[in-house]
Amino acid sequence: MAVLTPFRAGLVLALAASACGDPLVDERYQGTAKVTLQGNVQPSTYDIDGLGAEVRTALFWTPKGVSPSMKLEDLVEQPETGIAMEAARSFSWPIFDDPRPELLAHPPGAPAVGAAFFLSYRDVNQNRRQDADEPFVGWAPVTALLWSAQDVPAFASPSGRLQRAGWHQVAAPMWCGPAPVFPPVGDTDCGVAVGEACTQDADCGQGGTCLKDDPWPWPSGTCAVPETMPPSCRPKSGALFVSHRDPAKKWWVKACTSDSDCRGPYRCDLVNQACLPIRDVAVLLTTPMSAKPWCRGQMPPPAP
Amino acid sequence: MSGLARGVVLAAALWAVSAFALPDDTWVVSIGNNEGASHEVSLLYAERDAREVAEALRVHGPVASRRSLLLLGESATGVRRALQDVNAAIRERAGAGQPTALVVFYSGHADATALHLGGEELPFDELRALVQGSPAGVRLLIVDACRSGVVTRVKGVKSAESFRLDLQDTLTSEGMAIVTSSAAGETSQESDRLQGSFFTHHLINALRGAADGDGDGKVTLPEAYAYTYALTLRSSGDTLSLQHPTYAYDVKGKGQLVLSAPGLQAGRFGRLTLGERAVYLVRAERDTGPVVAELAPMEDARVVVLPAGQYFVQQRRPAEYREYEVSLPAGGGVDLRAAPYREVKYDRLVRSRGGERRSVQSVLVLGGASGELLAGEGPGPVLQLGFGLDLEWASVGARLRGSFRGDSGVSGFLPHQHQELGVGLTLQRFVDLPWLTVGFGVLLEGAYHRQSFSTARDAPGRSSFGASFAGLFSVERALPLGLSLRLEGGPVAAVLNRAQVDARGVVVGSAVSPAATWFLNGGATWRF
Repeated sequence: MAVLTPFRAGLVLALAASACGDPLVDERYQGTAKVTLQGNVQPSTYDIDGLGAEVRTALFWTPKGVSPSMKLEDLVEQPETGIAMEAARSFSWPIFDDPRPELLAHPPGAPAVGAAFFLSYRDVNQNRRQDADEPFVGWAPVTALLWSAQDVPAFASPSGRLQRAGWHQVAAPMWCGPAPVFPPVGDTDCGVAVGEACTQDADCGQGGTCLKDDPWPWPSGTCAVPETMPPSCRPKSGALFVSHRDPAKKWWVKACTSDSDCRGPYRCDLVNQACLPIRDVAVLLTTPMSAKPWCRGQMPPPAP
Repeated sequence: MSGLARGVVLAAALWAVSAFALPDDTWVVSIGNNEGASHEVSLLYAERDAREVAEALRVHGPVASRRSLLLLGESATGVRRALQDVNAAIRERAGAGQPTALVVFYSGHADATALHLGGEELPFDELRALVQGSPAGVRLLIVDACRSGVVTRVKGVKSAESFRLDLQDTLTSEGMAIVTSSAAGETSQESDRLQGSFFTHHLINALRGAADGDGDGKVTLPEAYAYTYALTLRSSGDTLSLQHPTYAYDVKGKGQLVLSAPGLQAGRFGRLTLGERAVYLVRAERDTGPVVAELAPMEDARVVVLPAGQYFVQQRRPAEYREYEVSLPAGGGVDLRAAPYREVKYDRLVRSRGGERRSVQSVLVLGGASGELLAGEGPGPVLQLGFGLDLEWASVGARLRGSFRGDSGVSGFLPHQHQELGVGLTLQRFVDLPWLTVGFGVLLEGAYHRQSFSTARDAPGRSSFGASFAGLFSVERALPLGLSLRLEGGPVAAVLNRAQVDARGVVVGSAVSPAATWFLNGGATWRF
């Protein structure tokens, strides 16, 4: 048995004392993330490795608010959020900083609110910010971020919905303006296990459909009720989700008010107030980059 | 009233009285016996002390050799008979109208009632009667009593009764003075270093001139007593118990008795003029030679008379020693105020085991820099305060350290500060070179770490404890007044609780791990 000499005892005490307290950080430490995004880079015609300069993606905010006429030059970068891109790589992207007031829209009679989109650019001079002579080379078309320090009423929110304080990852493009009201049809869930996992339509019940990959992958599948014209049934616990690829495709998925209302890899989407898959921020590198629709106008009203 | 105060009062009272020297017909009986009662430890220097006192009175008194009787190792019977014979001789001279004096000195064992002389006892009452009843005009009895002891072979009386020899009593005989080496209930001590008892050693130096307070070349009994008292008390203060010599003095109307006249000496003696008031240690031949005299004159430029020859003189000043190599000529003199000397700081003396002190205390203030401890922080300023103790075998110390570092993070968006407060212990070994002192050792330290972030981000402050082990290398250059300039530095191995941060800048874990860095300081040390 080892003898506990005074030297060894002192060493043990020193080690024990060193374990007390908070671990100390070095220069790499950035703080505690406000929100962490999962994403991936999908190279298109661009080869990142052949660019010869670092491609960075950052949050670009809309101080003038979100509208169909919004242009690229209306967007303002939040440089401290930028990260370097690697071709065909997945990334975990922590956001450490809330947006500064100058990056936010200030609707009359409402708190400041921000909407941010993911844009990529070539940081030629490697100063970690997008300069005027540095072109955009990509964006994440189906994801946006919303933020507010306080609750924002629906009339002032970019999503047209009541927006709670904090960060929200939402599907893009968003509807511009208030969302129309779809009156209920029936007071049941139409005999469909809305929001439950499935592998085929038969798993969801009569009249239900199993969403698997339209317009994006639905992990483990999810049961929904398609919106028909005229509507036959609208589930009581459902919320309408409209495909951004084909506005004619609409489904009633599980409604929610917070993430706790949704199962597994699903999150409560603020815009749709529906349980939607937590999706990667898919950064798509394309060229040439043109003006993109950031919101797609008014949501079509329900069929009469 | 203390003995010193009484001595001062007595000297002041007699200031205006003229002095008178010992007459030509002065007899000295110097008694020394290393052996006491059967249960008492043998003394080493009692007989030597008796010889030295007789020699000092013979040389500086001066007392004629034929009237100087040395009784070494004598029994009580022998001492009694010798005193009776001396009194008979004195009676004859006194009867012829010649002024006479008797000086009796005793060094050896005693208790509260009697001297212990090799198994026999001579009661104090009888000794006092022999001295008091002497026909000599002036009678002086000096007793340096003995008792067995340890290390310094403590002399003195048994604690059961006080040893008082007519102290504070009205003397019945005219012209008698009594001086004892210790007060009632105190012990008297021998010193190996002085090769004699404290009391007798200082008495002899007093007679050599160290006690010549008015600089007239004569040492009176009050001067000798005051000097001997102060030095004996000082010497005994470093040992087992304090020792206060006492006196009873009653030489009515006769003025101050001059015991020696060293200023008038010539022949084979030389005059050593000391410098400013300080403690002086005089050794024969060299710095390791036997101690000839330990002096502490109460005035500057005091003159002591010593046999001609080579001496090593050490003057103990507040911040250092001054050492002199002196060649004292017969009939001439050396003035230390004009003599070359070598200056030695106290810490060097401690390490070389020279001098009396066994340790030297110090405080230090240092400023400097310490290297990077966590990636990106870079070096930062350091301030240290410390207390040290220089011992013979090593120097130990305690330190308080404050340091600061900062960085702005890789991205530049998270500036933070890192403060440290450390408490440590040092252990160093010094090597004294002619112009510098170099040291090497170790520093063990515990530290409190505090990281704070200047940011709107969610980054709360962090506090942690750590430890470090450092190599300590130093160079010192001595300055006056006990100050030294100090430069030190070395490598540091620190143990910290460190966060594991991934490429995104997020903490994903922690581990207690080592970190290597360095430190470099400069500043001042004050030794006292």
